[in-house]
Amino acid sequence: MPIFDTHAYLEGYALPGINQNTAQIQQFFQARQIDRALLFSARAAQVDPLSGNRILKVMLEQAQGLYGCLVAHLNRVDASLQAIRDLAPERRFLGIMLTSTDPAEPLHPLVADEVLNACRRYQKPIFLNTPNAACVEVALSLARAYSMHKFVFLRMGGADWRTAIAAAQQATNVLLETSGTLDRSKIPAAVEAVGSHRILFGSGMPALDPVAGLGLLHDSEVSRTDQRRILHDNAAKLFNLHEIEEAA
Amino acid sequence: MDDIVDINTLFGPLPIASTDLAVDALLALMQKHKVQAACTLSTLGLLLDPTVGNAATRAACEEHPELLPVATLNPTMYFGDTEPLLRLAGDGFRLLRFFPGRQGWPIEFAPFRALLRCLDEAALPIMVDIEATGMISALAGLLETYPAPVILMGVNVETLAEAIAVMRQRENWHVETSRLLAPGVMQTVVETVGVGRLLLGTGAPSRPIASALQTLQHAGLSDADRKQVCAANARRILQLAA
Repeated sequence: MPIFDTHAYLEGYALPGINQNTAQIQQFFQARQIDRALLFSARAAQVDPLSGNRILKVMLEQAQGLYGCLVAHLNRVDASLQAIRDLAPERRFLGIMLTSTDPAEPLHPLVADEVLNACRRYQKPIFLNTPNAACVEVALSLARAYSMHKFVFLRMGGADWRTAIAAAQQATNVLLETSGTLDRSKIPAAVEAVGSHRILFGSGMPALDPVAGLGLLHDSEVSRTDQRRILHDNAAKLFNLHEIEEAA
Repeated sequence: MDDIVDINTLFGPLPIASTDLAVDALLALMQKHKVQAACTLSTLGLLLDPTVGNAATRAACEEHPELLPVATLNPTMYFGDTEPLLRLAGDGFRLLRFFPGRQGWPIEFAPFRALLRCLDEAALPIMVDIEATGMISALAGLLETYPAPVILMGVNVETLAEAIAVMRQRENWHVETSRLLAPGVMQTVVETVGVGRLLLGTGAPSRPIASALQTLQHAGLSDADRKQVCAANARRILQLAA
């Protein structure tokens, strides 16, 4: 079964040899039989959106099966807008993530507006960190306000995954990404509430080894058809992968 | 087929889980992954009353021999009665677990210290739930002379350096795997403090057993080391027949 990990990071990990460059990351995913992954720059999220995203772009040029998600930092709006203008048109960048200094704190909607307005013309999925219920609530309000975009809720609410599922029930442009709490109840509950076509497999690597995330699916009561959608098909459709890979 | 012993499972009602963690769900998951034995305790002991919980644990384990009873005690409910503590080993409990974070008491806590003094004689292995940086360092001072193995549960990337620093100084301290699921972490434990100090723990049935097993499978350990982590270390510490 093909696998697309929609949430993994370049750099920013305490242990060496895992994700400092795309060669390491490619080797890491190949050893786990994961075909494709969407990379976010930890440097862009934590330090400098401009240089972080640019380094990611250069590294992606040498990598098969790896794609990028641009990171826009709401405390660095000008640099983020510049990065969006420069890099969002790139084919290998499949989405745009909005983040702030503390990912556990909700985004400020007024500042997010400025960045989301700049994203409109690119029509790429928007990724938001939702590690708790407070972040889910703000993310839902943004998803409703910018209904022309698909929104991916990274970490699907963490321990508050029920709130994330409820949010996805209220906004059909929201998809849930599976990293976060390893609770065996959450994926079956999400499949029942919003359907497997709105769930994306993601690990949050290196916070979690993707095989641990796959283990969650393995031990959840989810059909093989649903697993296939979650692990690959939904991402392929969301990112229009067939067209992108044909063009490459 | 590898022998597997899971050092960390729970059953019973748990508010953070959407449904009760039924014993049958635990047994089914164990069967799916061919887990031969699991240390378990009732969530009643963790969330409500250790006496009630320990009784529920014993009852479940008497009915299912593949489950090994784990007792829990809550220092906020300890008023100096030593008799039940001395009975724990005789009642068949293999391990004793503490949950300071979830029960809201600090490691440096006079009733906890008093409890530990009384537990010296029983010398049961103990497992402590780690939820924040600093807890392991505080435990190191408190458990300096504890005569039995100590197992750290819930150690993750953020608390790994602290755990390793303390484990280098305490040879009978161990760490279990349920939160060691980031890449390279299990290998780091083995390389820094030795394979004998890592135990398989999953948090099942709330959490998946497959996550810990698959992470262990990809941890870059030799087959012999993996077997030791899967079961041999737990069997040694808990004095279980192979």
